[in-house]
Amino acid sequence: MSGIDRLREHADDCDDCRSRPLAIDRIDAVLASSRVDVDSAALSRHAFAAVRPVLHTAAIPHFWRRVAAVVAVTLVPLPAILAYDTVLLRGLHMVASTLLPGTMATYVVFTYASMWLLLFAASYASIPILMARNAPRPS
Amino acid sequence: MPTDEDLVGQLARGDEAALRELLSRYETALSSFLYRNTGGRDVEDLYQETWIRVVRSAAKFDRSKRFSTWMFQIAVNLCRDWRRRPPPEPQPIRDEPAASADLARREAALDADRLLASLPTEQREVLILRYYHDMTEEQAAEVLGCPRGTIKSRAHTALASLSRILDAESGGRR
Repeated sequence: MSGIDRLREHADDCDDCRSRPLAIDRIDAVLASSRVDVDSAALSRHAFAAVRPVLHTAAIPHFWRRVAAVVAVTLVPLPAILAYDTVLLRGLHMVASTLLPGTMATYVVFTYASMWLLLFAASYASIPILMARNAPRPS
Repeated sequence: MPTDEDLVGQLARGDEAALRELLSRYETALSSFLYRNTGGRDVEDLYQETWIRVVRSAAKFDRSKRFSTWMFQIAVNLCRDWRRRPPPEPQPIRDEPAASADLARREAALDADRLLASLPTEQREVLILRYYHDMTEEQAAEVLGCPRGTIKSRAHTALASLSRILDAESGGRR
C-alpha cells in the first residue's frame, strides 16, 4: 500500500472524515513532495563503526553463558566414565598382581591412574580455555 | 534468507554480518523516519544511538514481536528524548546557488517539511508512520504505545489540520 492508500483507508474508516471530507489528494500531493536529504548508506557506515565495539561488549555475557552450558553438558557423563574407569583399574590391578609383587602392581596401577586423571583434568580444563580464544573482545 | 528476528538473535551473539544486514535493510526507513521526525537535525546521532540501543537490547528482544516495530519504538523514544533537549545555537544560513528545477523541488519539499513541522509531535509521528512507512493502525499503535483509537483520532486531527492549512493557503493565494 502506498501513502495515499493509507490516507484513503483512514478516510473511509473514520466517521469524522466521512462526515466532513478532507482534501486527501492535496495533502498527498504535498506530503509526497517531501525529500529526505541524507545519505543513508553513509549513515550506516558510520553507525557500523560506532556500534561495532558495543556489539562485541554486548556479546560477552552471551558467550560465557554458552561456555557454562557446554561445560555443564560435558560434565553429565562424568560419573559414568569415572565408574567405568574404576572397574577397569581394578581389573588392571588384579592382572598386574598376578604378574608382579603386590606393592609393585599397586605402584604401576597408581601411576597409570594418576597419569590418566591428569589427562582427564587437562581435557576438561581445555574446554573453556579453547572456547575463550574465540571470545568476543571489545575493540 | 534469514528473517529480521533471526538476525537479532545473531546480533545478540556478536555477529557483525547480522548487524550489516540489518543496517542495510533498514537504513532508508530509519534515516527517513528520523529526518522527518526531527526536521533533519541530529539525524546521524539519533541513527547511531538507535542502533546502539538495538545491539544492547538484542539479547532481550522478544522474538514473537516484529523487529521493525521494536526498532521504531526505540527511534520514537529517542526522538522524544531529543525534543526535550535545549535547542542548539542558530547556524548561519548558507547561500548556495541552485538550478531552478532543483529550487522548485526544494521549495516543494520545504512545504511538506513545514506542514509536518506545523503538527504537534504526536500527530506528526502518526502521520509519518502511516503515510511514509505504510504502517497499519495496529502497527502504529504498537510503535507509539497507545490504543488504536488514539491513532485514528490523531490521524484525523492531523489530516484536518493539514486540510485547514492548505485551504487557508490556497484562499490566500487567490
